[in-house]
Amino acid sequence: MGANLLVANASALIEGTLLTLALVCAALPLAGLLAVPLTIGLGSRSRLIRGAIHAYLVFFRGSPLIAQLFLIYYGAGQFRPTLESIGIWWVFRDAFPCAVLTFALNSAAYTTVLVRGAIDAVPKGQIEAARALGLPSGRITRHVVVPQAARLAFPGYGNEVVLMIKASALATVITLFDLMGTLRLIYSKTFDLTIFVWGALIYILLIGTFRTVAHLVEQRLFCWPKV
Amino acid sequence: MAHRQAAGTTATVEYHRQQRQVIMQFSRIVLAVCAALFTQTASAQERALKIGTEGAYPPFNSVNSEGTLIGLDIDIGNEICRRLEAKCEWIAADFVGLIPGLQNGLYDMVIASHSITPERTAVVDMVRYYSSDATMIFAKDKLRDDVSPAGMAGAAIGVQSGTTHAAVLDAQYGEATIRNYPTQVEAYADLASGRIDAVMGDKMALYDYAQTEDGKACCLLSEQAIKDPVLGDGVGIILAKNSPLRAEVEAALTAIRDDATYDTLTNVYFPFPIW
Repeated sequence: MGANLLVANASALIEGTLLTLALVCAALPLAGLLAVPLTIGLGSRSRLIRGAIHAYLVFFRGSPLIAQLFLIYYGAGQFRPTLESIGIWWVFRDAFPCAVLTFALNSAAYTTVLVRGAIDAVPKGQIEAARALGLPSGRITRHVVVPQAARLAFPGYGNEVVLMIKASALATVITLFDLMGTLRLIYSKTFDLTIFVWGALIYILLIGTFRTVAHLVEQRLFCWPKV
Repeated sequence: MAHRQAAGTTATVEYHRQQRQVIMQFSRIVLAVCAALFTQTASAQERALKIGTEGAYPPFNSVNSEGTLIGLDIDIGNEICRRLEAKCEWIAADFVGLIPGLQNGLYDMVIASHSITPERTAVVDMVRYYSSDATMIFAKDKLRDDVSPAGMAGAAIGVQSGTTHAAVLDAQYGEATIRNYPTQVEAYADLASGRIDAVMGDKMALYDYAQTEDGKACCLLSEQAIKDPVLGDGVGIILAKNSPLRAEVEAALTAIRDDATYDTLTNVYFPFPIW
């Protein structure tokens, strides 16, 4: 009970936490990379591109993450011969890449909507003024739109990271022993519920640390007055 | 009142008469309801027993295409309820949540093919209802003759998390890669798709899978048995510690075995004795 439980299972808990962090640190950059073309595509004039991206957003934002995990992991297993013939079975063979891919696809959907909203929220008057001043389109984007959109999107993106840290607990269902999986394993051996209290504290610690850092970054990076 | 009546005796009498009528009608309704309830409770002599199970462990407990729980655990449970003159209420839940659920009073008993181990009997009571051996089922091209820790070095073995099999693999099979699945059925899925080489489990559950279409196509059951004290001794029905139901369940099981109902029930699933 109590601290004994924590100390006895310390190495397993540390390994679990590291895997959680690995999942999050791999999925977030990938999600960011995926979100860039998607965000640009949402502003495109082609109805086909916009429609395709909307379909992607509806699917990944409208279905539960756990269902997406099952679909991609066990679904890929069913289609193994097809995937092998294309040469991408190696991505789906292990649970870790599958989980990273699913988390990234899911997070990219939310991030795209967030960033698109932020870009659209930059006052149009500023862009008109910049054009009137003769600034080329690239410079307008880089110096006028992006900094302000980034400031608008930052809190929402921070939320997205926190949600990802918590969502990583779902990786247990596809055999990954992240922090949540380790907690369940320890519980099934000891029948002691306090391990979940310790696990919750670890998650709170991780998220609290991230929030503090994000707050400091926000204050340093976006220190110009709001227009 | 829609119209004015002259104040006086007639109006008052009329008012009181209407009041009495309303009260009489109301009382009749109340009496009728009470009578109905009383007859209902009088006829409900059976007690209801809430039984927890998993529903993802064929052929012992699984869910058919209509969503009903089926399997040997359910058959034996229903037979016990029949002998105890009780009504079985089956609840399917996550495997690792079954024992905690019982301890919290969510279920009167749990029948989900739990192995009888000292860790479990320290917190709950268990009544044996069949015996089992542990073994492994292999993907056809990955069959190994030796299922000991040395023989399985380098193999990827799947197992259901929270089971005694998972505990054995965790403790002894350090040279192999162990993959833990939330349910047995998901372990079979990965075995069929080639992500793992073998699945460790109860001989009888693995035998059942090996008889299915997918099982026959992909896999071979090992002839070897794995013995370990961690695997426990027999498989039991779980009851709360010192529950009064224990004596009744034991008596019911003895009666079921004595009149060969047990053999009738188990022969549906297995051509060999499993007690």
